[in-house]
Amino acid sequence: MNPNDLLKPLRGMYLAQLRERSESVAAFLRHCRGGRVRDDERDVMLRQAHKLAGSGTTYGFPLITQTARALEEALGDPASEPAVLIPLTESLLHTCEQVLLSVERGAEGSLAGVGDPSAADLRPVLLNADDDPMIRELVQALFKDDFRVVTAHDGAEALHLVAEHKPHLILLDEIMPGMTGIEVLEKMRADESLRDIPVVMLTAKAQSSDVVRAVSAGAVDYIAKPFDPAELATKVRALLRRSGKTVLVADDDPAIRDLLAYKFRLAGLRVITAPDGEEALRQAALHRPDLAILDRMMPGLDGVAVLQQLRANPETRALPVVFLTAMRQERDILEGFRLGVADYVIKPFLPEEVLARGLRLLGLGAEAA
Amino acid sequence: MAQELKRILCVDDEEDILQVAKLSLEMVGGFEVSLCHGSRDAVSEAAAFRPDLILLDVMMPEMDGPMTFARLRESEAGAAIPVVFMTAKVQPAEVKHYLDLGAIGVVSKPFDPMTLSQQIQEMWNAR
Repeated sequence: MNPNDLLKPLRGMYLAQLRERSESVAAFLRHCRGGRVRDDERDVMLRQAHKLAGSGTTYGFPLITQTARALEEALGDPASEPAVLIPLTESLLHTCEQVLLSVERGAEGSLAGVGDPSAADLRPVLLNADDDPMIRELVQALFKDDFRVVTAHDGAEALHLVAEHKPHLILLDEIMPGMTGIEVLEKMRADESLRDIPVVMLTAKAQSSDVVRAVSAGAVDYIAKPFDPAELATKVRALLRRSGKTVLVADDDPAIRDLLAYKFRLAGLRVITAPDGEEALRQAALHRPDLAILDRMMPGLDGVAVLQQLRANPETRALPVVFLTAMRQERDILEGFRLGVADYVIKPFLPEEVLARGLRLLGLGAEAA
Repeated sequence: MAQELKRILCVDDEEDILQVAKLSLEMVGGFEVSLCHGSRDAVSEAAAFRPDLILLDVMMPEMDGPMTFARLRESEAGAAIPVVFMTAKVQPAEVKHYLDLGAIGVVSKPFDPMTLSQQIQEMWNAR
């Protein structure tokens, strides 16, 4: 049994409770921002934080437990001031809202996993069609960390799964009983929605006739059996980077640049980075990314200035931009939207949120599949 | 005391903890579970349900876990029923404190619903 079977029936109740507790957290945040916190208000928040911490991980939200615990500890010190409590409360509120938002959007059918960075499945999908169970196992083992691997035993099942999962890449055995790999490819080519999915053919031999056959049918690459697993892994990753989309991450904080670059790369995208506004514009013109994540406040040319120049240039006018900003005043947010930003993420952010919003704008999110 | 562990009474002031504990102990552990929301009715519930073991939350309003434990020990029905405490605070000193009080074990919150039954079973076997 998996935790999901256990937790699904309790989902409604837990979420209703979470909604109520979130409001309590929001109310406390307002008190803190008012400058002074009464003892009774502090006690209420302490109890709520304790309860949130005590149930978060159990229900599959370790991040709720983590952020609630941090706040609980701070509140445990009666001398702790609003200045310390505010960021911790914001963090907890943000986490709770994230969970509620994700579940309401139906992003994941399961309760367990949302809000847990390691479990959210934003990995690209790899479909492997092969009648040989050892090959299927090998592929699963090779790629399970970077991809969500889906397997088919024959051509018919492969076509069915392609339509269902819209994989980012397909590893297709050429020789299978019933429908051959070539036939699968031909069927895919005939379907507009499936035509562009890159396919690597696993051929029985490496003779030129086999290669020609595979490539004419539409495979973007091939590898002969028996293959070197390392070679296959290299081919697959290179392919995904080439055929995938490109995202530009511009932030003067190298830690944020690295973190977001890592997240987007792990999701199968190509990433270019820039440490400031000028470099961001140069990269955008050079590489024509499909998406830009811009820090709003950078020294020199800031996010707003970059956005304005992107919009002024017909070549980059349509580039969707996501702002990362600590400014949460309504008027700043509205200004951003007026200038044409596609989405906003408020700092401190969860990298998964940036990734999710970015993928959605690229039409690559779970909902778009 | 070579008995089998079959019936568990859970006492906690939080509904969501009670529900997940019940499902977890029933579905994963195969136990028969009764729930008691809050400490007030713990003693009467123990008398009515006659559990083999009581899972008792520490932090409860009005009467907390240790006090409820004391009341159980004073009662006829609850005098000999093994108790496992459930608490968010699990420093070794605290665990020792609860064991000194007479509990057979301590489960930390938040607990993993997939391993709760095993934890309790192990405490039962070792008692």
